[in-house]
Amino acid sequence: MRVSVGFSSARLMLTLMLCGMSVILLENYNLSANQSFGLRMLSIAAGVGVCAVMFLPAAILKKRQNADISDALKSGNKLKRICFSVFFTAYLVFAAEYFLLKYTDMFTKKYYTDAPEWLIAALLLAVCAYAAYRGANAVTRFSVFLFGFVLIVYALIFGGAVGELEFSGAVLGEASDGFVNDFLFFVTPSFAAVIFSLVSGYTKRFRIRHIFIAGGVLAAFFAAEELFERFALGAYANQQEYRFFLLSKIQRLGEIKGMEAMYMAVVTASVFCLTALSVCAVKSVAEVSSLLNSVIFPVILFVLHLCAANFVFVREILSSVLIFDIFSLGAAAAVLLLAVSCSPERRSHA
Amino acid sequence: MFADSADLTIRELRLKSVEGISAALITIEGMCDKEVLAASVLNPLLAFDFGSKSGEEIFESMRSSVLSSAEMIEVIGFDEAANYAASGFAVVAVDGNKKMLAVGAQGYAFRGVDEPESEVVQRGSREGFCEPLRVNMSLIRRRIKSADLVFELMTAGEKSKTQIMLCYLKSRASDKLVQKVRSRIEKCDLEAVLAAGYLSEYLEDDGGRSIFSGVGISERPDTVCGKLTEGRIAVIVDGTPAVMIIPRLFVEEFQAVDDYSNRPYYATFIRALKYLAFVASVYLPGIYTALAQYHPEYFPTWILIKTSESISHTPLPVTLEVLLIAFVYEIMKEAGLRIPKSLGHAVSIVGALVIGESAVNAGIISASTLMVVAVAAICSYVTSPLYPPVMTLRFVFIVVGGLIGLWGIVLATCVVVINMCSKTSLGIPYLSSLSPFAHRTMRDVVLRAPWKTLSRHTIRVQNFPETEDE
Repeated sequence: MRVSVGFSSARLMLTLMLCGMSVILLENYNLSANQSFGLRMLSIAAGVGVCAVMFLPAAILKKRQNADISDALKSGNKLKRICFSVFFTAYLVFAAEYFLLKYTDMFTKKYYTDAPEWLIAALLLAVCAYAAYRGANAVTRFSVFLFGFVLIVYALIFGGAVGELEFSGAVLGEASDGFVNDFLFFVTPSFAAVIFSLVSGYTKRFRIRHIFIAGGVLAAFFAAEELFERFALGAYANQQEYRFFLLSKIQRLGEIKGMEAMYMAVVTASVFCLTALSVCAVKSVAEVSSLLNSVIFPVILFVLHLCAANFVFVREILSSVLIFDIFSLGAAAAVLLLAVSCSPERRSHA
Repeated sequence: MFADSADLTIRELRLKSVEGISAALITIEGMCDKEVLAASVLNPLLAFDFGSKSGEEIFESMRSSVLSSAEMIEVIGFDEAANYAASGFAVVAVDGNKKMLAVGAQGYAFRGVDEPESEVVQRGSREGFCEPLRVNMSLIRRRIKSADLVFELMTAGEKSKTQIMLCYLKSRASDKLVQKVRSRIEKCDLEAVLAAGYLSEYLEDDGGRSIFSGVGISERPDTVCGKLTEGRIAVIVDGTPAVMIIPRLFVEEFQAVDDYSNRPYYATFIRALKYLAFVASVYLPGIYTALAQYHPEYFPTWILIKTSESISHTPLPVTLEVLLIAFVYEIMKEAGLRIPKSLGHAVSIVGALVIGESAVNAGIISASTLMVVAVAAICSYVTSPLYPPVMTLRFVFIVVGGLIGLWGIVLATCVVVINMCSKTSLGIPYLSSLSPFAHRTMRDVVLRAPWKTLSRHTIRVQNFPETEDE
């Protein structure tokens, strides 16, 4: 008989942070082209700050009753349980699909232009289903290796592009109108906070400092990315989609080629991690067996993906950053509501 | 029982001064040392004057003052007696007694203690395990003289009744782990256990479904003793020189006895080489296939020119070519293992010259492809215990790289790593030290810290993070 074991919160946080990084890389072609460097930094700080705040419900839930969402749900009545389960499941499906769409879009635009999008999604989802079946613990253990790989790749990309930095035309303070738009994109990694809340029941030794460390690393990474994009690629970057992808192509390391393939590997593994964790998180709120859960939700994601590929309005809804951020805020608020409404005494009766 | 067996010997004995009560000596031919049997059993029994005693008194006299063997066990019932007789004991039965005496007189032919061919070391002991269980026990006991070392006898195999010895340090191995191993061996329902490999699947957490093994095998007593001090359990199977060690973790595949005899910096360098060789042996042919097929622009220009020129002259697509060479290599490897040693050179010559050079000259295969497969093959022997999974994964990555390119290799890597991350050995995560990360044990993973640092903390395998309980 296999039993679930508690695993490190720091590792789960690390996994989600990685996913957050890669996701913003997928997003960055939507950032405002004329934004000044100073305001971009401000939008990063504000966005990451909101992300960090959205981790607080998980901390409160843990502090109040050392429980996770599934425990908190069980302590309520049936109607409440159904409503919250449906809401969280819908959110997780939306989150996974949101990133999957961005990923397949980037894949077919920048990597294999001839590749059928549905096949890419199907293969990735099949692997995610396997990982979800193996459990959240296996996925977070996987993230340790991914983290090592990410460090190597980013060191090569940034290290190779250091020689390209050119600060002569630096504009730091000029105001422009893209702050809110950029802020919304930098809030995107807050999905990590919701997933963390949903699977935090497995974790041990969760500390508030983990939130600050994760937020700090995330902000530093975005700032570095912004620095290199702005001062290595300059105005040319603003004319390109997926500027980080471009950065990986221009790095100078002699005869070493294929950096974009390594970047693609990082993004693929991150999206895989994120989707697999989303499917694992669904298991904690929907009362289905592990095997069933691992099959049903990837199939739903695939069907949604096909719909998005064929109907523009579905694609627009599923890839809208505004809807996604509102949904994330709502999910974080729902976690908070559960944490506050479910007292430790009531839980012990349940 | 043994009624029709030609090797069963029953010698009826008439005891001195005893009327109406006879005794019998039961042995299996070839299992006893005749000199020991005569000196410690037959001669004392026939020479001793038992007088007018009852059957029970005669039996007691035999046990306490007549038989001179150091090994003497009271047995009840024919099943038990037969087991001992089949293990080389001489069984003495006396009329009117339920009990029998199994007297140690083992003396069968066996291979001597020799250097194991599969685990050669530069510095260190040249002794390796051999087939008899008791000799293997003595090899371990000679290295760990502490009373803490426990040998626990079990049997497995409905027909073979093979003796299995659990070996562990009582203060280091947790009771839970020992109990787990014990119950798994008891659950073994095989008719015959003829080698260590028969049991290893029963000892694994997932029943041997993963391509990586959670049970280690060693033929070296010093390796086994080192593992025992970390709280692991050794399982010795009678009749095989390979001793199983559980739990077995991934990082152990890169450790060798020589690491601890060499200077730390050199051992660290060798370890790093092993990790690199492992990655190269798994990925090199697959990545080459993916690059040659889908991303030739990633090759440096000078390699691209030579590779494309070489590949363009061969009739097969790159994927098929790599697969073909890899298959031929595996066939040659198997042939080299199975044929008599005297013919080994012939196979090497045929492989290297006829198949290799001639095929390249004839334009059937390209030189670059041959070189890539050859490098991967050599690298796979650096971590020889991992050869079966490495070989399997190499083929998988060749196929995936040929069908889907680098992206496919990334996806396949995700599957393999997730599989490894979810694997456990006796409840301990297979990738322990790396993930879940344990910084204390990392000093003996890629780095080999100096002995003073290593001895600062005792590593106990059951203390690794996230160990599962059943």
